[in-house]
Amino acid sequence: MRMFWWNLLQLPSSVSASEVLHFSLAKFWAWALSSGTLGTTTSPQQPRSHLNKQLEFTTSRSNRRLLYTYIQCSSKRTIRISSIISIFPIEPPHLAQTSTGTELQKMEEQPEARLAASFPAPPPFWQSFTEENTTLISSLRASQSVEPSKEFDPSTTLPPRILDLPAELRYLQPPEPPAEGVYRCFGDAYDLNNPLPSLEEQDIQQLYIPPSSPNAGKHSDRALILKRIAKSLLLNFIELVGIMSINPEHYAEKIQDLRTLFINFHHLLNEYRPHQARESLILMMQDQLEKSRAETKGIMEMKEKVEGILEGLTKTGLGDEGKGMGGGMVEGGVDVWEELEREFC
Amino acid sequence: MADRLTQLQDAVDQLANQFVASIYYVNKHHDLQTLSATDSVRDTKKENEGAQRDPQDVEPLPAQQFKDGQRELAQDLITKEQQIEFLISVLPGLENSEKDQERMIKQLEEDLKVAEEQRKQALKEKEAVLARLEGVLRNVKRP
Repeated sequence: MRMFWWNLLQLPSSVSASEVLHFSLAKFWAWALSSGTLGTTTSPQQPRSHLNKQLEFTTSRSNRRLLYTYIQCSSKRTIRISSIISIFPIEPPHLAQTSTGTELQKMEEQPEARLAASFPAPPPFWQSFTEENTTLISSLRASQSVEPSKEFDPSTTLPPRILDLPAELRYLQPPEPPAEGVYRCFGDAYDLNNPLPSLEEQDIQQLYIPPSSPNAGKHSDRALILKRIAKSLLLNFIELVGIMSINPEHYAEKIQDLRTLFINFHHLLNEYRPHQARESLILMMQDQLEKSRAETKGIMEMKEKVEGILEGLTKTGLGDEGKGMGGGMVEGGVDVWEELEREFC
Repeated sequence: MADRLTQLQDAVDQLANQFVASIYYVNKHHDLQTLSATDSVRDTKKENEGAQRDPQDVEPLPAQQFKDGQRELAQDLITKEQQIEFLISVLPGLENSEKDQERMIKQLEEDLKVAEEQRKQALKEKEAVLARLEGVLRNVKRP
């Protein structure tokens, strides 16, 4: 081991990192093969495979280490740089005295502590969305669909379901929309039809008379109620301050009032949400419409400009040569070339 | 930026926070009073020097500073209230009912389809004109 590190330290300083890695790997294999100290189970015939097993084990453990670059080692097995780095700790001379067994053990423990990731890994099926797979499935769909001429519009209809798909294409099939209205997202179950619980259900006094139906009636009275609640909030706060200055023990009742007011306010706003969503949709559509129209206008203007230029060109061509439309310019050019040739011959 | 409903809810939450902050300020920094003429305010600060201070302890501020603080907090409360009222008055589509909205959405959808068709048509024409221009440019030979 000491010899090995010594070799590593003897490297010329100009070599690149990958060269160092290759070099050190080769040295490592050489050292591992020549020394009998790999472990109790190592037989002289298969030290290499045994070591590879150990290394692979540590690589899989250190999957989430920062370094993700692969290198191909001489035995055609992929080993990640991170594992190499964990083989070569920062202070090599000390490790030279430790036995290989404890060193490997150390390597196994090391990644454990750093496994905590800020974000969960993406679901595994993102890897199925390769270029080949997408073209393959679109061709399959084209052959399956009843009307091959009709273009498939992903925004309105689901693609036809193909039942016997090869395994690697299975994830490219969009799942059925939730039939029951329940779907899972980030491990939690959600219900599409989850109604907003009313205030009575939550044992909170309702301070306003609900507009006949939350979505049908006019909403301006809603704004009025909101304004009233906002004003009551302020008034109740002043009362609370007054109570606190005279008899602080009696705060509870007023705090309760304030709480009820706040909850009512929020509840009213939450009831308003579907309306707001529709309203936002309308705004977005108006926006889109404007954009589309502006684009069309721009294209038309440019077209007219180009047409004007073309017109101009044709006219000058006509004026200069006095020949028919379209052909004028070509022939004019040919004439010029002939003229030039005559001059130089 | 969040939609107006969220803004409004945030504003109301901020108002609640300001309530708490105001009460806390008054509770923490009010001046100490004597109950009778013979009492005197104990100077706890000097007695407790070095020892752990109780967070419940009152730290009286100078009268003018305390008044200014109160005034500022009150002004903030009023400003927030006004913000809330403004946000309420600009809530989107107060005058529209659900049916109106649905009608508008359908109308807009139709309009969008027409506009999209027009755009596609214009694109085609543009391509045609471009092709013509290209043809002309290619035929022009440099003398």
